[in-house]
Amino acid sequence: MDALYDLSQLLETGLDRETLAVLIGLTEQGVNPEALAAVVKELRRESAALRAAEAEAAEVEGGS
Amino acid sequence: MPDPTAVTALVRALIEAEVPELPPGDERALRLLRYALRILGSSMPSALPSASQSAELARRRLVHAGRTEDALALSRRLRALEACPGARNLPCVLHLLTCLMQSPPPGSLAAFARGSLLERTGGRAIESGGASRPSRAAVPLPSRRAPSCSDGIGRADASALQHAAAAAAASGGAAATSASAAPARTGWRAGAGSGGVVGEEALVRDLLYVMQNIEGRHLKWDDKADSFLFQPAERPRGGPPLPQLTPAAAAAAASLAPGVVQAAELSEWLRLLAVLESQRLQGLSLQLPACLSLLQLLVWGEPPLQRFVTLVAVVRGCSHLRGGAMTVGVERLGQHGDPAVEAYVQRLLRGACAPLLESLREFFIEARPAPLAELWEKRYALRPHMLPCFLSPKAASRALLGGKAINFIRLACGEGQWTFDAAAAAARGGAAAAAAGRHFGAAFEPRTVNLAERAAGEATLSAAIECACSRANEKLVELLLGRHRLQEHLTHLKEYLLLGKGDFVQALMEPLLPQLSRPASQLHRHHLLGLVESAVRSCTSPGVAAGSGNVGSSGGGSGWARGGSDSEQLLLLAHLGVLLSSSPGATGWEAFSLDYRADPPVSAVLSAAAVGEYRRVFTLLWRLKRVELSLSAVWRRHTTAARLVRALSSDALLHRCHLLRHEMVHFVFNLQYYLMFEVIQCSWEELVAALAAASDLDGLIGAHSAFLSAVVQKAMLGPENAPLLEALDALFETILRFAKSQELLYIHLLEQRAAAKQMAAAAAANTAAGGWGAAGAAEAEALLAEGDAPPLQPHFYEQLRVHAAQYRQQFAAFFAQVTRHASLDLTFLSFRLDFNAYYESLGGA
Repeated sequence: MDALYDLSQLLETGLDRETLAVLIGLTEQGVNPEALAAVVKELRRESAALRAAEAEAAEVEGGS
Repeated sequence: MPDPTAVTALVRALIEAEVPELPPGDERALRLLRYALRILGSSMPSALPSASQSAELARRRLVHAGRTEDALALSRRLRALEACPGARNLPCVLHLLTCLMQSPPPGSLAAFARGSLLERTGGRAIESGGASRPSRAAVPLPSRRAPSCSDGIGRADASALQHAAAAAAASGGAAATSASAAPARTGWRAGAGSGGVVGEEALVRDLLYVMQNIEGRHLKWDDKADSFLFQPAERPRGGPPLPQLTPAAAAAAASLAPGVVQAAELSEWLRLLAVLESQRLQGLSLQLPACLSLLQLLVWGEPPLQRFVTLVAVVRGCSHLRGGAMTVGVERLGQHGDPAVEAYVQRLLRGACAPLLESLREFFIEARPAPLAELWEKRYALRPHMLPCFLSPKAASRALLGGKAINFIRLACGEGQWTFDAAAAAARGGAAAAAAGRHFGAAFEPRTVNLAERAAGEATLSAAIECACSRANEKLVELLLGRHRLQEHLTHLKEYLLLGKGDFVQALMEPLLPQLSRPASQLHRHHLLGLVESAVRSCTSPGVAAGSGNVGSSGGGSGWARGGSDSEQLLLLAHLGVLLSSSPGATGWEAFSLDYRADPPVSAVLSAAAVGEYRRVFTLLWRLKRVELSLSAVWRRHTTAARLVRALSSDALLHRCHLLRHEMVHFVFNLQYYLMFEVIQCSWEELVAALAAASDLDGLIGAHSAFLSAVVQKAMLGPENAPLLEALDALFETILRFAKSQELLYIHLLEQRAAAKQMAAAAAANTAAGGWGAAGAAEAEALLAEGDAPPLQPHFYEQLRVHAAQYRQQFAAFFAQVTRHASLDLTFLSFRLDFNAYYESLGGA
């Protein structure tokens, strides 16, 4: 597990331990890893979008 | 099998971990959950690479990123992992990790975030111009660690590119980044109706379609611009035409000219496209960041693009040409400075020449409609400008000859089914041609080096053509001489039209003499034909006394024993005819001439022009014969007169008549000898020799026309001998007039003789009656004159003098021309005419 975490750090995947564990669990369930990676990327993008929207909202509030 | 509940729980956990901003129960989270599940459930190209493959991939990326020590560390870790137990789905995990490699943590994506699934922004067409500067995604900008944005293609593309454009402008580098990561998302994005932004992937796919001349989703054919234009599906905003791949490819694909564009070319092109497509798909499956970018397309497509450009140029240049001319055109276009272009055009040429080698005849030989009679001459001709480049004109003319021979045999000689005997011969010829063709193909490549080879190939081809041609010609000559009896026809011509057969002429002349002195309008052709036929029969049946007795209006001698020359006679009679040229006021002499009709195979040699030449010679000879005949009639008269009126033999007038006649006879006989033997017979010998030696129909025709022209030339019928001929005509006229006057003289003599006899009888009667012998003064004169020769009327003297003077004068003129003539034969004639220098002295005096 740790080795895997080290590996993911090396490859700079940006996964923390928890996420990694979840992902490994999903792969053990037989999920397609490509699809899984795609999901992860989507989620990340969603989160980034959300954050950006919040930041804009905060700015607007701060400005007005 | 994935356990749905477990998967759902895990995914929910994942969402919580990844997107912490959302409260868990949010309906957006639920949507995300559903979305994620859908992604997971969708069927992906599932070629799971093995652990080593993923490792290799990861290592490569690390090395690309310049982190070589990390790559080594990776290898170490992997080895450790493999040794570790419980890593049974290592391939999956590795694959996952490599896919997620270099995906930035969520924080740094702020600059790139431009909306998500939860927001729907308007479509934004990317600047296709910007798309022309993508680079390999494997070479990221050093300043950015996350060039391949994980947030997908669409809008990120536009932003990334714009960023990249700015950055590139700033950094002066051309290394814009392309965002082609997670291409799998494109499919969903399109499937999810992602709207009007066109990603690079879509562009690439469309380009691949376009290269096959199919309209892609976003690239539509625009007739005005004559190329494919970029028009995204939603917001049609025509950008500038895509990089130069499109117009040329479109033009090439659209202008598939028949017969030139080789299927090989097209299949090569399609193969390339298939490779590219597979590469793209493979990239899709392998999550390669640089599966197939526009730049790659460009690079890959560049050589075929060049080829297609040349192809289009060639096609446009040669589209109006056909066949052999096309190969010539292609070759001319191939003389290009660029060796690549040249080589390509050579390949095209080779392909274009291949079908030609099979059917040489059709292209550079044109077929013109011509009647069967002129089959040989007119039907086929060489079109030199359509000659394929590897055939020398000589070989081409041989091929033409061979083809013409075969065709002639088929059509004219009636041997419709004749082909090359022994299919092996044809196969040999064909194989030789094919071998020559292959040889050519090899010889075409680097032209400068292989000129010798090309010459050898040409030689092979010409040899093949030669072989085929000679067989055809042999057969043709054999046919003509054998089955169609060309030689016999020519012999007949010589004997009958050129009056070679004396007895025939004799037999013909006698009945015709009284006929022909009538005006031509009163003559009937069938009547004359009957006469001719009876003359023919009388002299061609053996065992029949030649002579004038059997000729007459008794049509045909059925009582004669037919001999072996029946077929010859039939052949002759079938072709011999009478021609009455209708000119007003002409007597039969001018109008009459014999004619020879020849059927198609023989008519190639005995063309209408040739028969016309024969007729001219016939006319001359016929007139000569007539003169000869009349002179011999004069001679007969003279001798009978001399016998009858014995005292007349010493008469000065008659003596002079004799002398004149003798001169004329000498002249006529010598001329006849000259014409018959020196002109006709000598040329005939040459003709026979040439016929035996002729190898093809052209040779036969040539020999025959040479014969004819020699005859015409030497018989003074050529155009340059016109004055000579006129003098001859004048001489003939004089002789004929003389003959006529001699007739009159003879009649007059006979009359006188009869009158004298009568008077003598009267005187005798008177004397017996006891009276004076002569009753009156006139009778006394007559009695007195009985013993003497009766005085001839003075006008006879006049006539004779006139005739003699005329004859001498004309003969002198003729003779002068003959002696001065350049031809050797005529000089000999003059020598014979004047063997004792009599006329010379006369002329000198």
